Amino acid sequence: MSEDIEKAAEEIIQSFLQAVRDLPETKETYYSYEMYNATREDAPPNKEKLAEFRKRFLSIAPKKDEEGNIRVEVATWVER
Amino acid sequence: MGRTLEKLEKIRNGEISAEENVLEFLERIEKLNGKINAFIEINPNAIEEARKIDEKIKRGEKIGKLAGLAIAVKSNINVLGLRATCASKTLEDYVCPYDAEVIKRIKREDGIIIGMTNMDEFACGSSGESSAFGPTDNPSAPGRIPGGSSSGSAAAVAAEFCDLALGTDTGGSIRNPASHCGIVGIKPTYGLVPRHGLIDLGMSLDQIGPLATDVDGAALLLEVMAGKNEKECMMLDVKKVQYLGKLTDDIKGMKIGVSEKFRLLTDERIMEVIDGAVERLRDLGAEIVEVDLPNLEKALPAYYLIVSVEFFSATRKFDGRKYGKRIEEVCGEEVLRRIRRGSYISRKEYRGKYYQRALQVRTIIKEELMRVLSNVDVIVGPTVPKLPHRLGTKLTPMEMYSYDYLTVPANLAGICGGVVKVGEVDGIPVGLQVQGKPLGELDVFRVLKALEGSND
Repeated sequence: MSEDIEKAAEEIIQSFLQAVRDLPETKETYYSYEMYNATREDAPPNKEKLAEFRKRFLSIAPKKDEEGNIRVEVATWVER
Repeated sequence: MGRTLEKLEKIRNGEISAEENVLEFLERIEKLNGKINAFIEINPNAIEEARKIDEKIKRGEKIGKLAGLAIAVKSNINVLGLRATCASKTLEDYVCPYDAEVIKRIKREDGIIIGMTNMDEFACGSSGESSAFGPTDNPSAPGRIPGGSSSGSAAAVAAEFCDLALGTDTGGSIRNPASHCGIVGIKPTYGLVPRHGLIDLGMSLDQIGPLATDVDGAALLLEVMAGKNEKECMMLDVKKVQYLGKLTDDIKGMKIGVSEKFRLLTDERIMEVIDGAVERLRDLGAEIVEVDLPNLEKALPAYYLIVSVEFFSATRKFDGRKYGKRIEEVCGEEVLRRIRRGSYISRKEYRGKYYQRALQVRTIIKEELMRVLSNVDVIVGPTVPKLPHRLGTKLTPMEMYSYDYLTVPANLAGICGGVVKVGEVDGIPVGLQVQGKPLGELDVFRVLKALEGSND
């Protein structure tokens, strides 16, 4: 499976390079519109809502302790 | 007046109650969902929510624009208390701790979320077959794929399991199933609809959009969802939009572009239906203009490079530590393929050879479409180049990706697009795609409505 995937990845890259080889170099488009709207007004957090969210989030956490913190183990796939 | 607005009117004047509306859908789902597999989860509070709306109506209180309508939601959008699984084992136990912004807006307008719909796993697919909860059947062409990735949402609308549905479109995932199922689907302009609360596939391409049985229904739902959200920094500066008040089916004098390129890429039986629809547009008074799209077919490989890299990045949070399971350990073949490909391309990315080059092609496609759209109001053509295959047919990845040839350019350019049924081939629905300028949704709706009217 893994080898097939690598092969398919290579194929798609090669077909892409082949398809675009005659196209000119130009600027890159990361997002369709470069209009940033970061104008949210500052406001104090709603403590009630945050507490409710925390409760709901903890209800789906795989592991938690008695004090209501998520218990996170180092994943088995992390190289040490 | 379309079907959706008629239903709204009946609920408002008490001819039918919101509760009766929801109950009727739930009975139908109970009877037929086992075969179609459009829904993954039903909202257990839907009847209770409908009753509250009926009480509001009885008390003569002000009610919202969607009062009493039952809305299905694709399983990659957060709905408080329901599961947003992305149709994957990775998130099969993920109960949403909050409402996505679009859901807040729907609830504010008294829409009732009836349940969460099936989809291609993590929206990675165009057939609706890659869900961990099993494939979805096409209610309009039984035994064939409904298209994807918003397979369950489109099938739910086509099977009359709900009034309206939400899908998401990254490379055609609303328009493709709308075409295969013979309904209306809209991919809004990038940045018009909030993405807060959407579990993303490709953050620079995804848009949430409506699926409906009629154009008015799609316009109504988009009106409710669209507009700037202060929580997001990649949105257009649009406060709100209004379509229904301005929407007519009069297309006299509109300039509509068609391209020979579509014919080269598309099954000739589909093209026959599309040609017939274009003639109808001409008869209705539109001016049909031939347009040149020389690089259209280059959009597909560029899209798959970009989306693989963005998807690889988006899935790094599914490490199984805070919620869900580690994605690589439980996901299906296509999701794994895209993760590995994204990783491979990212590793190979040096001196801007691949990803950056794909982003350059994106610029070329965008400029090409903008140039054409500066001379015409909309571009029309087929939505999907081939007919939906029979469920279970084995296709190579490249064969599967080729369903997206005609839909990905709109995502790369960030423009809007819509689909309406214009005919059939051997009983299989064929949808015509209308692509419009950025924020040109009203023009798209006008053409869809003109065609919808001429279908009768």
